[in-house]
Amino acid sequence: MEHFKIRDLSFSYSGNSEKKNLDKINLTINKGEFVIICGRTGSGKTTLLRHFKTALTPYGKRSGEVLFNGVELEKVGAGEQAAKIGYVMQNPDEQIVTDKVWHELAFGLESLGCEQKSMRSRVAEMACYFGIQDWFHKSTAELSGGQKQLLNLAGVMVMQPEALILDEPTAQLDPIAASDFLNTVRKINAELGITVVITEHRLEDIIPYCDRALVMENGKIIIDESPKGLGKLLQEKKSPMLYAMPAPMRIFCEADGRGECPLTVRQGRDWLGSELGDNPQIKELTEPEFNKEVKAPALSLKELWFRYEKDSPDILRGVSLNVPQGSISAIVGGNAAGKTTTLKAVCGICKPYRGKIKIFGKALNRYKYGELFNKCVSMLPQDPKSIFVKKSVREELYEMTNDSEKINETASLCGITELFERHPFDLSGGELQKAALAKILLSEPKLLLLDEPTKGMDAVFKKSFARILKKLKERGVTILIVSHDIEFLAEFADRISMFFDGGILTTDTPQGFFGQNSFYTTAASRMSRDIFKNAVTAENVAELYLKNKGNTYEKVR
Amino acid sequence: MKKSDKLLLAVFLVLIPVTLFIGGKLPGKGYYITGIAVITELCAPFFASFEKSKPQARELAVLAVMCALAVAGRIVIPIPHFKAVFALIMLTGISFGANAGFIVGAAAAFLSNFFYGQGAYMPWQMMAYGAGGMIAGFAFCNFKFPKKPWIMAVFGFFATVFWIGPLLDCSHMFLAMPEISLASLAASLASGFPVNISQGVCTAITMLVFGKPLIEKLDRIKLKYGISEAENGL
Amino acid sequence: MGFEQCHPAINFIYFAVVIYGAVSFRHPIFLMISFLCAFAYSIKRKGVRALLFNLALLPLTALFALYYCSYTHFGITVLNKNFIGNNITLEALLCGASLGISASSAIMWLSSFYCIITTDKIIYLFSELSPKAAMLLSVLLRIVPRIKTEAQRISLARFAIGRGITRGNIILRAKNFIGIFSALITETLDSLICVSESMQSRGSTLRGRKAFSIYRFDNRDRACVICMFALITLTAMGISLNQTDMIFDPKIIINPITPMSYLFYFAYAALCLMPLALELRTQYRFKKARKNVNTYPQR
Repeated sequence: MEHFKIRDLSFSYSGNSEKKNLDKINLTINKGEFVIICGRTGSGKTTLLRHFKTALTPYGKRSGEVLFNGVELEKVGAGEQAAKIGYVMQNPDEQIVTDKVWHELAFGLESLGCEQKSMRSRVAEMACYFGIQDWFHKSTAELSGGQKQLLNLAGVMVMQPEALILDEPTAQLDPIAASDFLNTVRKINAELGITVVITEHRLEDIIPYCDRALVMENGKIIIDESPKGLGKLLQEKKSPMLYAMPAPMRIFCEADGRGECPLTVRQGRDWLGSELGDNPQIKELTEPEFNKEVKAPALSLKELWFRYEKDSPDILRGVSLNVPQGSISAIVGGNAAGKTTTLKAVCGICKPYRGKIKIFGKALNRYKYGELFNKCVSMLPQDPKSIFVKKSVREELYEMTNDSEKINETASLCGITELFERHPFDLSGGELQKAALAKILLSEPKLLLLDEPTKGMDAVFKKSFARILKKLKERGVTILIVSHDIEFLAEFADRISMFFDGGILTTDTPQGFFGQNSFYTTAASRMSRDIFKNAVTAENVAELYLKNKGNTYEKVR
Repeated sequence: MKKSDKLLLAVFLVLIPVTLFIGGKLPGKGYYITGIAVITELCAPFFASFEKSKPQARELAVLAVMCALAVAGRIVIPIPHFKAVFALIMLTGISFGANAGFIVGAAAAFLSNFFYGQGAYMPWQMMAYGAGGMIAGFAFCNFKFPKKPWIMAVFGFFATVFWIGPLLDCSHMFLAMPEISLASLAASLASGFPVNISQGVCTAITMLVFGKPLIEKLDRIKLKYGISEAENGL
Repeated sequence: MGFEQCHPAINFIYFAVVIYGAVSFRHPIFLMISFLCAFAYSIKRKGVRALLFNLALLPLTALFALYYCSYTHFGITVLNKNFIGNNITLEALLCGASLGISASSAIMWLSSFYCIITTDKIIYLFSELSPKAAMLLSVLLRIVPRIKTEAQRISLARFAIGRGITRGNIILRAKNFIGIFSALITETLDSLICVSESMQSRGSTLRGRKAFSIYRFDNRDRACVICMFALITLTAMGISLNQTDMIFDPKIIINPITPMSYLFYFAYAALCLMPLALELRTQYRFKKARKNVNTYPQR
């Protein structure tokens, strides 16, 4: 039974009449299907999703039609659309409309004019299903990101929709909240039979369970395939989207495996085990050198203690860390553990009541304000939009310096030369981070602090971002990253420190750090830990696999 | 002229003065009723101005922000008779047309009076503030004045001194003077003139300083979300 | 516990009545009742801080009385002459004192009012009048604090790239401030449009909006309403029989106190003490119930 049918849909935004954001899209989605749409930033995914509801359809030139249950979408009434098609957007904060959780849950039902009794029972049902009953009376401003997004989903589900459209819902969430959220979406599709159309960059949790995966590029749908066949197809087309796929699929494709493509870690382990047996010859890669002692560190934190208010508990309880010059170091840890607070302490935003901070050997309080942030330290915040105040990227860069040569050089390093005339608030995904990075690089920092730099970035962007960081490292810039993105750090960081219980526990290389963990580690490591000793990235596993098979490993792209 | 603009003029020139006149005769807190009547009458041309059947929530959201800025412009500056509110209302009219300017002006008057005290002047203030937005909308959208800061500043000055100011002074005459005659009109206008000049100066300064950035921001929003192209103007 | 658990309608009516009473009654006994009950209840709700605050009101009342009689001159019992030659009369002094006490009672009632009436209850009140108004109010309550948090976030981020507003020379700080303000307006415009889209996609523009109420009217509320309305009726009878008035000008005249008056005093006192009594009773019953629980052996 057809739920949505899109015929020859073409669309372009009003400012840009030549570029087609959607190019003759033809798509049919059946009732109860779980469809994933992948693609790079700017490929048209969000634009396509917004056409599923007239209230959200963007403004521009359009041709073609969208049918819902066989009726043209424009002819479907606002009330019917509001109830039957649920839409969850990317930013959890901007979707919440009311000040209290209970009101947010009841909002949709109030608009539909439900009777008091049925409203109460539906709200109660949803609150129980999502586990919201504990924070039912809380204020929405107090919730964490994961809770907010869950609340948004509940607020949509309470109207009992037939279809659920989700636009990168976990982009702003930490891995645990993201995984919980996607599990809930999966449950909703499996248990309630609601059609789900979702775009995501975080594919490990959902590719194994979807019915179809679509890949979009330049406004066209280039692949429409079940997940098992997806890997091979991407490899044949030499599509960069292969890099975005879950680790088991990537390893299978890079190692040129035969047979059925594994989608989950478990399937991957079975495949590896069946191909290599229990005891392969080559078990580990050479580990890079690791010096526990750091001479002349770029940043030295000694026993920092800090709390936000007199009566609140300590957030930093004796944080000590030495960051060597010219390295890419990372701090990982649970949510709200205190990692961002540590970065803020380095900048001087949070002043610890005990402990010493030394930047390049000089105590922090000896630096004057202008001195500290000029050619010394700079921080890229979690929300990179917050540092932009002008109306074009060009003006933003010129705010930092007048040297146009330096600006052009930095812009080409960061790959943002085409974005000069765009308004910074119109940038999306990785473009925002790159533009923000270019801006702060213009102050020529020697110590660069990055707070969750890969949030909302697609996989290919992450690779190019990492290339920029590597080039900076070659120039001698020290980089300290706080992140939840274990896969990214496993591939590109030199040192990783674990933040727990108010302090830094251990510091090690990615291989050493992730190699010994069972849960808090990359998918590739989980897949191969019984067979290989220290393979933490997909490339590591593929390399070892091929070595064992007697082939040499060459990068596919 | 578009149908909605004709409707707006009709409402403004005929219906609202009649309402105000009758409303002035109501005892005590009758001005609340007059105020609500004025707003309702304004809604007719406002909704007529939308090409589609209903205004999108986006357009209302932008107007709400402009209204909030206008209210802030009146409340935040502590100097009496030196309020930025007229400039902000006119900027709304310049960006979105006469109807939007009128509604935002009237709403700003109503809401800021919660801070300053509601009184019998309220419907008059609503009409006068709204008239400021309306005339700015007509001038810059229909008659296509160029939207340069100094032009907007000069326009703002003259509109405050010779249009909004006198309208507010008329209210003084209707409500506070013992008799309605040319002499009392002259007296009200004369007494209000210095206040109007100082307001006019403030309007001009606000236009010079904030005019261009605000118009740019609103233009970007208009382009991105498709709110009121030049032909479809609000 | 106690009064804020009652239905909001009861809370609102109660406070409307007692604040009206505090402000408009002039009879000394009624004033005393208002004052003492407001005093007691605000201490019950807020503890020692309220005690200190209320005690500070007493000297202020005395000062106000003196101030009042220095510029109002009516009455026949002259106490003194001030420096211009106007009379300072006993009547004016007492009138000032009574005004001061009414104002203090009103202030104390208002301080308890803010404790009991939460934003949820205000929204409930609006939703009874107009669901759309309640919706706009909740949206406002969400957006205005958000603008503040956004401003803080932008300010911190700008600080960390050397463009802060808390340190540095004054011109630089002013420039940075204007930048932050401009960014805040753009950000607010964008996020408000997002919020409005989210609202519209869930049907906020549809007609026939109903409001969800988290309050249920139970038996205790019914009992409160009956009790309250009985007491209000008695007090209203007292008002209509001029029991609550006192004339100061030119001579102090109070209605003679009859046995009937005692009924009105009692009714008004009972009304003012109702929430306090409710709370004490609930606390007592809670303690008693807990005592019973502890007699079970620990697992």
